[in-house]
Amino acid sequence: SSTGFSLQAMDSSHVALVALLLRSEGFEHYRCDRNISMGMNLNNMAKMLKCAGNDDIITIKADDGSDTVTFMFESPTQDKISDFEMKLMDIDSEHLGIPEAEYHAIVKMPSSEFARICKDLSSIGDTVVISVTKEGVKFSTKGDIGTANIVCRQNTSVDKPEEATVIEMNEPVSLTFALRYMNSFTKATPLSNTVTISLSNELPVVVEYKIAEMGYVRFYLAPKIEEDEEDTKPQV
Amino acid sequence: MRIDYFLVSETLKERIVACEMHGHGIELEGFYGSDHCPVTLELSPSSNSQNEDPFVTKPLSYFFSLLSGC
Repeated sequence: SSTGFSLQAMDSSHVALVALLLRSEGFEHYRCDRNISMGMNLNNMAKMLKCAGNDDIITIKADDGSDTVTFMFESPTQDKISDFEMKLMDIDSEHLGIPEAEYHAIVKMPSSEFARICKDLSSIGDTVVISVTKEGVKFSTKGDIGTANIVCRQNTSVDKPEEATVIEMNEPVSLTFALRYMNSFTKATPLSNTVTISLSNELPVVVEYKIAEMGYVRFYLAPKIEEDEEDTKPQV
Repeated sequence: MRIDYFLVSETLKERIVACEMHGHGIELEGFYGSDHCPVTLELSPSSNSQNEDPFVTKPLSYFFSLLSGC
């Protein structure tokens, strides 16, 4: 769209979604005359992007109604220009509208800390319970060999702001998630020093990594709901 | 006589308890029926915690539609 480049992908079971936004201001040159939606095989896209050098200038071009997208890579000295054309695919599902939500609790913490917590807990159990109270945020799991709990208290007094753990809480929250998805999300750790985790009871969690000043990558994961609670819930 | 098979994935392979063919030999000794002798496969109960998972996970579209109020 004219405001930027957005990307959405969902896992096969439809419980996890990634939304990436790169705002138009972040590009050296950006032009979009009309909103266009393209289906891309991400494995193939990764193969193409791997052919770019680390310092190359990348240009992505597509025509309206075309069934291909072009990736152009220029070396910094422009003595080498590569032109890759990737076939697009038809995807049945369109962009999923993600409604705005008020979150009961928002936790901002170092992304490396969060990645370490998810990695450590996944060696003990399959699911993580994330609980936010005024005391802090607690990550808990249990498995065949035992249980594990990691509590992060709020600390804003550290020297570097990106090393702080900041918790905004309107209401205590406790949610259960599959750890294997959380570990996949933490592959985005190199993108940002901090991660923001937004939680509301019985709603999907949002794990957000900012991309410098130009956008973000957000992961949405549906919570696991106790089977018993299901019966008492009113039908939608 | 045609040969009947069970095909299992790698993960199910660990759970095979027994696989039996009913009737044997050209005269189908031990079994009376069609020219297909039945075969049965016994699998052990899953020790996977996923089967014991008391939680259910709804797709994201369920939650998003809740938020949209539709």
